[in-house]
Parts: sequence; C-alpha cells; structure tokens
Amino acid sequence: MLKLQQVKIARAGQTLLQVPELTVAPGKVGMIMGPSGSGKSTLLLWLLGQAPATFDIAGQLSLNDQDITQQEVSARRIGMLFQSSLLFPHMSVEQNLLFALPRRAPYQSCAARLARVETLLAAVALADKRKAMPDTLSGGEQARVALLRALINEPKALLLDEPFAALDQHRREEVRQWTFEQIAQWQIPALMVSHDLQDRPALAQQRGPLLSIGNAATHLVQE
Amino acid sequence: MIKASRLFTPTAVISLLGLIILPLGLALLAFGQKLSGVTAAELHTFSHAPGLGAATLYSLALALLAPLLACYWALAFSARSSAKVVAWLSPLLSIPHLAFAVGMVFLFSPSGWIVRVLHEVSGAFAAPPDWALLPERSFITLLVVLILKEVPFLLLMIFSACSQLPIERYRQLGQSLGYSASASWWQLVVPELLRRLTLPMAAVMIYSLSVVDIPLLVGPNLPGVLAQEVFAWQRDFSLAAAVNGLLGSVLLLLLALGLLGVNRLHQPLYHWLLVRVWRHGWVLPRLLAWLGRGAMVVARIWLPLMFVLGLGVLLSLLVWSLAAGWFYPRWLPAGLNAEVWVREWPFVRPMIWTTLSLAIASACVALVAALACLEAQHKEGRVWPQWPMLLALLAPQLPLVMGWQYSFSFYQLTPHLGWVFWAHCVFAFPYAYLVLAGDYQRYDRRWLLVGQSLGYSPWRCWFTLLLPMLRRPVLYGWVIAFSVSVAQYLPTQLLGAGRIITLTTEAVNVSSGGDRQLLSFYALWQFILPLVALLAVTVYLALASRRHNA
Repeated sequence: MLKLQQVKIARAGQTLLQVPELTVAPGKVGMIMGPSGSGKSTLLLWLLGQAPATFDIAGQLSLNDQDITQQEVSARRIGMLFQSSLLFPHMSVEQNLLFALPRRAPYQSCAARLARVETLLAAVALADKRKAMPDTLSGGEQARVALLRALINEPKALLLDEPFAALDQHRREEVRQWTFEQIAQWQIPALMVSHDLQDRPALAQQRGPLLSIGNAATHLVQE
Repeated sequence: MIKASRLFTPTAVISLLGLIILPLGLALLAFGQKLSGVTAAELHTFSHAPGLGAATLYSLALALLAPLLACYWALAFSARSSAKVVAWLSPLLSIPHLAFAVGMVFLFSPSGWIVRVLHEVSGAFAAPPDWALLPERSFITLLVVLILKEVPFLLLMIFSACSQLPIERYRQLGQSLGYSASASWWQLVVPELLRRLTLPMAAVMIYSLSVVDIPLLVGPNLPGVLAQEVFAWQRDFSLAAAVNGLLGSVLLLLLALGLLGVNRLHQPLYHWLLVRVWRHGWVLPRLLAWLGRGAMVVARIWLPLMFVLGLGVLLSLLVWSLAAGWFYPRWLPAGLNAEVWVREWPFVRPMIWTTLSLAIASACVALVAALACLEAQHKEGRVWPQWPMLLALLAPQLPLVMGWQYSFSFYQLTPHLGWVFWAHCVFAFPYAYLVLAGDYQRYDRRWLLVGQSLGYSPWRCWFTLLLPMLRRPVLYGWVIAFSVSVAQYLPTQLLGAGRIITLTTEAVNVSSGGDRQLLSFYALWQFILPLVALLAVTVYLALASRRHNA
C-alpha cells in the first residue's frame, strides 16, 4: 500500500501541485495526469527520494503503513521506470537483472541466482536474449527487460514516468497490457505519470486512483 | 560514520586548495614581497636590458599568431569532420612538444633528412642550402611547431563544444536559408563555438607566451623569446640578473593579462564583423572565395599530415639514435649500431624511473581531483564556472614556478622531489579536468538513480555504473595528464634545483651540447613513455569492448 498525505510542491513560493491524500493498493496502477511543467515528474522523483533541490516539497509518504519520508533512495525499495529503458549499457541483459536481484535467501547461491534470472526471462519470451547487450535489443524488448529489472528487485512500490511514450503505437498497447499484468501478478502498488488517458489500465481491477492536475485545481478520482 | 558518498566534496575542496589556491597564493605572495624591494635604478637597468624589446615583440607575436592560426585551422578542419576524429586526437595530444620539435628539426632543417633525400634524388644540394623548409633555430620553426601541436588540443575542445550544440540543425537551418554548408558553419556555428573556445584559447595563448623548453631548442637566439630570456636571468648568479628575472616575469604576467583581454575581444570582434557582412549584404570577391575554399581543403589534410609527421619524427629520432657516422649529404647513416643505447642505458634507466613514477603518481592525483571536482559540482546542484579549475593554465608557467621558488627559499624549504611532484599535479590537473568535463557533465544521472532505487548506495552506483560507463574519457584523461607530466620542464628543473633529472630536463640539457645522436636518444625516450601509456590504455579499451560485445 502506497500512501501520500498532504504533499505540496512549490517553486519560488508558488504552489505547483497539491495532493491531500492518495492511496494505491497492491497490484493496482494509480495515475497522475497533467500538462508539462505541472510538477508531476518532480512528484515522482520526490517519491523516489531524490527531489530536485530547486523545489520546496512538503508532505508525508508511507509504504505499508511505515513512514519513509526521510529515507534515502537506496533504503526505500521503490522501483522506477523512465521513458527510456535506462538499461546499463555496459552490462548484458542477464547482468542487468543479476545486478537488480536481491542478495538474500533464496538468491544466495550462484546457481539459484542464474536460475531465477533465466526463469523470468523465459516467462517473457526473452530467454535467447540472455547474453545480449541492451543496445542490440528492440524498443519493446528493452521496455520488457527494464520492467523485469525493476520487478526482480522485489520493490515495495513502482513508479512509472511516461513509460510508454517512447514506444510506437502498436507496440505501446502490447507493452502496456503486459506491464499492468505483471504489476497485478507481483502485487505491487504502482503510480504512473502520463499525459495520455489511454495509458490508464483497461481492466477495473488494475485501476488505481486517477489524479488529474489542471490549471485551476487538482482533481482526484478514486476507483 | 561518514558516508562514502560524502567523500567527494571534501576531496574536491582539498584538490582546489592544494592544486589551485595554494599554488596561486604562494606565487602572488612571493611576488608581492619581492617587488616591494625593487628600486627605480633597477627598473631602469631592466628596461634597458639588451634585446628586451625584440624579445617582448617575439613573445607577443608568438602568443597571438600561434593560437589564432591554430584556432582557425582547427575550425576549418572540423567544418566537415565527424566526431569520430576524436579517437585520433589522443595519440597526437600525447606526443611531447619537445620530442616533436627535435624530430621536426631533424626532418626539415637545412641539413635535415628531407633536404638529404632531395639531394640523393636530384644532386642539387651538395652543401646544405641557405634556405630551408624550417631553419634549425628561428621564430618560424617555433611558430610551426607550436601551431601543429596546438591544433589537436583545440580540436578536442571544439568537438566537446560541438556535442553540446545542435550542429546538424544549425546546418540545415542555414542551408534552408540558402547558405552553403561551409557558409552556415562559419556564420552560424563558429560564432557560438568561439564563445565556448574563449577559455581553451586563453590557455593556449598563455602557454605560447611562457613556454621555455621549445624555444630553448628551436627558437630564435639572441634575443630569444621573453620567457627564455627571463629563464636565463633566473639561472644566472648575479644579483642584477636575479632582479631582471623578477621584473621580466612581472612583464610576462602583464603581457598575459593583456592577452587575456585581447582573447576576450576575439569572439565579439568576429561577431561584429559578421553583423557588418549581413547588414551590408557583402559577398566575398570571387578570388577570395576560391582562396578560402582552397584553404579549407588544405586544412583538411591536417590529420594525415600529423600522422605522417608523427611517424616521421619517431623514425628520424630512432634512426639518429642508432646512426653510426651520418654526415651531410648522406641520406642514410653509414651504419647502424646500438652504441649510444648501450653507453647511455645506465644513465637513462634512473631517469625513466623518475619520469615514470612522477607521471603515474601525478596523473592519478590529477584524475582523482578532476573526478572529485566534477562530482562535487553535481552535488552542489549547480554548474561551477570552469575558469577556476583552469587557473593553472591561465597563469603563465614561468612566473608561477618562479614565485614558488621564491617562497620556498623564503621559508627555507629545500628542493625536494615532493615539490616537483606537487607541481606536476598542479599542471596535470586542468588537462585531466578538460578532457573529462564534457563527457562527465553529459552523463545521464538517471542511471545512478536507477541503481540507487535498486538498493545500492550512491557510492556503489558511482563505482559500478558511472565509472565503467565513462572509462574511455577517464582513461584518456589519465593518459593526457600522464603525458603532461612527462613533458614538464620548468617546474622539474627549477623546483628540483636541477637535481631531479627526468627525460625532459635531460633532453634540454643534452641539446645544448649539440650531439644529435645523444639528443635523439633522450627525445626518443621522452616520446616513447606517453606512447606506451596510450597504447596500453587503447589495447585495454579494445579488449574490454571485445569482451563486452562477445
């Protein structure tokens, strides 16, 4: 359960964005919509733990009823997906995933770690790309590996910053559905920033709250 | 507990204190103290020193002509070049100026290899001709050597600036308005580039003003350039010479200030001229346009030219060092033997060791300092201006080193390897910073953010993500810092009180003896060290990327 309370983002004394309360349940995808410059990407960075110093941000963030507002990025265990896949270019697909795989039981032996990576890759039909370098993959493949990398880390929540904007039209629908399925399957609360209403999950059981930021006011739709 | 990631800012602060504030502060204090004791009579003697006017004129001409010609050559060269050329710049940058100058003389002087070959073919030069492609010692030789060696540095800076500009869009825009590709380059891109080249150009001007070892080798004699005269005074024992040395270096400082001012006018002047052209709708006369096009074509041979020259220099140094009896006009030595190599080996071995250890250590310090400064800039969340990092390049080297020498004698510090090492770090740091800065500042920091969101500490992310991704500029930055240290003459000679002998100081010492074989031997070794470092790095990178693609 991801919960935001009384979040307010301001720059140079001017309030950009206000969220009184927003809760996303595990497996659902909440969505924030708004024009560029409305502070929605800044909100995601703040949730991640790395807010730009040029903004004044107040508020409270809790994950599973634990206040994590003061925690560092690496302690929060919140995953993030950007518009570009940001796979580490100097590591193969397998190495990218191994890097993200937690070093705790049951992933402590080499064999167990490799097996885990292989299983997951096979599940998304990328088993043959295990040794490939990221720049040799297609856009859709990169998006899938990037999501897998975020999920394999077993995050407590997932943030998505316009994750489908860089994909072409028919690929977008496919990756979108697949992403929401994975999120539902892993039972992770997710929050997505987008300015395309079509990015919203089609299935009601995958839908979280929708927060639209307009010029006049912030409008919240709870599902 | 101190977090490892918080080590960057303290390291940066220590670097800035030790490599910028301390050196400049020491020099300034020393000059303040020394100058307060100068009398009017001494000033009068100095102003009437023989050859002072000519030396000053030489220096000014050199410091203006070499950088400007190199600048426009580099701009003309890069008008049509892709950024792939950058990969070829490091080898050219790492050639030490001194070895290059020696080799150029061996090739182009009146009794040089080229005239000998011409004689062999045509029989025209039974005696060395009065004219030559490059006289052994002259202003022109000095100018040519400096220009050729300054072009690669400026090219590196141009490509780094270009990668931050939408060059392609400028070009398309220009062409859609009816300008040719080269017209849009010179009228749209170059004004912006010149603005970004202000700092590198300042560094090149100051270098040309205060370089000592190259003029000692190939520069004009009696008088030489000002820096050379000041250096001679400084090494003289008499009190009058010492005062002249002090005043001479103040004159160098004043000239440097003047040059910095002139340099700042360069871009506005270029822009002003362009605006004139646009306003009046001037068109280049056909003849000039043809000449310009010709010059652009000539400029493009720079890269092959430099490779041919570099190889020629290497070969001529090698052959001379092995030559047994090579008298004019023979185009090949009578025989080859390793006599010099065998005889000099016990002497050169400790020098190689000193040079290597100084270069490796100071390149490492310079690299760490540059990385810390670049990372700290990010932590502070704003981009610092670049000039403070480059101050050691913007102050003429000779007065700077003399200032240190004054303060060491004032505080009764004995010459010491440690001081030489410190000075090498001071001069290697800005180059490492310049080579790294562009790629470092363009690095997508979201990669680090992804790493941290996966549970890794900022420090771990920096090491496992940023450093491997930037290994190419990091390693090349190290190599350039290494070769800067190998090439250091003044600080080694003056702060080491002549007791710390590197390949560079020895090559300059040997050059005054006139033994070409000996000179070529030491110059060759000076050439070899950076070459080996560069080869090692290049091979490593090639292997790493092979492994990476396998």
